[in-house]
Amino acid sequence: MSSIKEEIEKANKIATGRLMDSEPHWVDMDIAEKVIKTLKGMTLLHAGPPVTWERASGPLKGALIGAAIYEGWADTPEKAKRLLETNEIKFIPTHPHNVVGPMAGVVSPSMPVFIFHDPKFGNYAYSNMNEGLGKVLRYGAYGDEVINRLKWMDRVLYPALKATIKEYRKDNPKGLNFKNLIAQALHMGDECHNRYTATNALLLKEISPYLFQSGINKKDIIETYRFIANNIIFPLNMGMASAKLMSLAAHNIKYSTIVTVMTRNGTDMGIWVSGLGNEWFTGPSPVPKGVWFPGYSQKDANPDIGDSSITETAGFGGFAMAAAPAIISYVGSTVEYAVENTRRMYEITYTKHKYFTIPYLNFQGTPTGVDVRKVIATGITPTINTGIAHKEPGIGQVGAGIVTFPLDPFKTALKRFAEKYGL
Amino acid sequence: MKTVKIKAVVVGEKIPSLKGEKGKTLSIFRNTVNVHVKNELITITAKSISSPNNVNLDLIEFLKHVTDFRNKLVPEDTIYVFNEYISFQKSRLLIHTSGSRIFSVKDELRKLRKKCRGINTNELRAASKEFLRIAAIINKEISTEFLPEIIDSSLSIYEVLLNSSKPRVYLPKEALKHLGLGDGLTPAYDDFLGGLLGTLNPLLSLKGSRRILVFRGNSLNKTTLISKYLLASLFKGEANNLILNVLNTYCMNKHEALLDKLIDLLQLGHSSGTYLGVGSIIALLIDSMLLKETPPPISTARYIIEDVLSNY
Repeated sequence: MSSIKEEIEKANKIATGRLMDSEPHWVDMDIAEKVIKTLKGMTLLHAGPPVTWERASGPLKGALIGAAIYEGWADTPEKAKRLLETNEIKFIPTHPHNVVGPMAGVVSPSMPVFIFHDPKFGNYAYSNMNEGLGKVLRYGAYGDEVINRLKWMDRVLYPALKATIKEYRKDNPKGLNFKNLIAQALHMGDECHNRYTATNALLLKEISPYLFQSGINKKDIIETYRFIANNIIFPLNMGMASAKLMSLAAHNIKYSTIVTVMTRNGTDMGIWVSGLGNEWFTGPSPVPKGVWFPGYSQKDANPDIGDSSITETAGFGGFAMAAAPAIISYVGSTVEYAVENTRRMYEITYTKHKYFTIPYLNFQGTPTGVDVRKVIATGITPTINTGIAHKEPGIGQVGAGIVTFPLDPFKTALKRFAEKYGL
Repeated sequence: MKTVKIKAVVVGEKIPSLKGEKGKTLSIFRNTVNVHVKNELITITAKSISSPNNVNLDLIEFLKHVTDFRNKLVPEDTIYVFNEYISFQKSRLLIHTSGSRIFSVKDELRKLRKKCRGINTNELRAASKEFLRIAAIINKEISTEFLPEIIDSSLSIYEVLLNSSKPRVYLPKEALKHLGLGDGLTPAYDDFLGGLLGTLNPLLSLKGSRRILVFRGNSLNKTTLISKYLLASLFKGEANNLILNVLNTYCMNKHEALLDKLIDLLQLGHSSGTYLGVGSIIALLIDSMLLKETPPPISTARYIIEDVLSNY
């Protein structure tokens, strides 16, 4: 047993080292089906572990319906629903394809995606573009305003960003180093899951000259700039693609007990563990406690949903709440809680981040690398902050809050670990 | 200093009977404080472990207002138990208990009465070995140092139950002589004995054998104060929800779920959970051996227990 423990220690050190040393760069934009090889025909990607239509949550169903309308596969929600019920439209999880999407996380073949590259470990990851807050596809809304915004994003935002990053790479061949942006933003009051206010400002500061000199027309430049500037959560999807690259670098390390995916589909919550490959370990997704938009309450809330907990998997987001006291006005609770949540997460993580630090905690590194062993040893499970979707399809976001993951997926993973490694 | 108020979500069945009583804080941890009131140990905790003596706080509410009992609570503070709240005088903390769910062991056991089937010895042995492997992987393995004491006292308990038909069976001296063995607020051997008695006594009463293990006079005085109170409670069958969950899977013959419930115990203390789990497993093994038409002799029982504890 002692040699196995040494192997686990060695593997976890390697996994978390790779996670921290990963270098996610934004390198390009493209249409999803061109770069995500499995996204062919009438197939949609969704956040979280696999789920059937019967068990899918309201917001996920809503987003899948909306994506079918957006793609032109159906012209009414009813027709879209029928195609999904009969499996003519297939829907599969994002993570196995190196894709991440917030909330329902639905990515369809025609959608433009960010392309992120990690030159250190050679991986690529993808995410869709962020639509803003309120009635949006990712929260399960699919009305005309949602589809029209997506079409505008295809027509204006996508070409503008593609031209911008192309121009940017003339001066910075590796692309835009998003890890640097996150590290800076953590010192400016963001935690980089639900608060990206500083990151957004940094992003605009970095890309604006290249947007202006990209050669696209002035009207589209102004619309693009305004859209990003007015959407304080715009960098979320980019932060998630970066986090995916970090956790991907830590994935598939033999004997490692480090969690490399934590995600939810609105019905189930699921994890991957580095030493166990792409095997899902799932449990019921919990309902967040939070702050409600006017007219809504806890009874409207869907269980937690989205790939965005990849940020905590990579050592920021809710785990870095001590860096972001202002997040409390969005997700509820107190500043003390924000600090304490970070402190608690040290109890279940393998190490402190080398590059992501928290000024309030004397520049301690953020809690990094959830270790399944520590979760079981303490009974403490990851706690994150999150947006809250309405439980019915077609409505959208109703609040934001805090959620603690269930213990069962971690327990099942540890049992499987013991079985796989013959302990 | 402003008084902080936190609502309790679950209150153990003993708490209401303590109203009007005065007590003192005994030990203060990050998420848990132990309080001594009228010869009872009351545990107020933000962990989700319920027992007849526990007061459970909602974790998020707790972290919003207190974050760490060690910063908030004055050592040896005086506390009062009122009808609807528990008050920490100098620490300016009020725990509201009105409207909280009551945790009752009797209610939990009532659900199992008359339908406790048990799990066979071989399946128990497999689950036990797996439990000990998992404990070792997470660095909470049992120390081989205490194994002889654990095995001998387990066998002494099996023997006394095997040979007695009296309703009240005294815990053999062999089982009591190692009390206090090990480090910590609740020494390792005490945790083991706690797990064994906390599981076996409710089980014996469920099985209608009407036998229950009791201890003599002041036998518990040789261990720490907290351990003494915990053991005294467990002797009376006042188990926590984690032990009751183990009991439940055993009774309902859910051998696959048994391991999950044993793993839940591992979150307790540094190694307390492992020793509690070992005690609980031995209790189930004793019950399953006693259930056989011809219960195995001591020599066979020794082989089974040694096999479970040593081969991982």
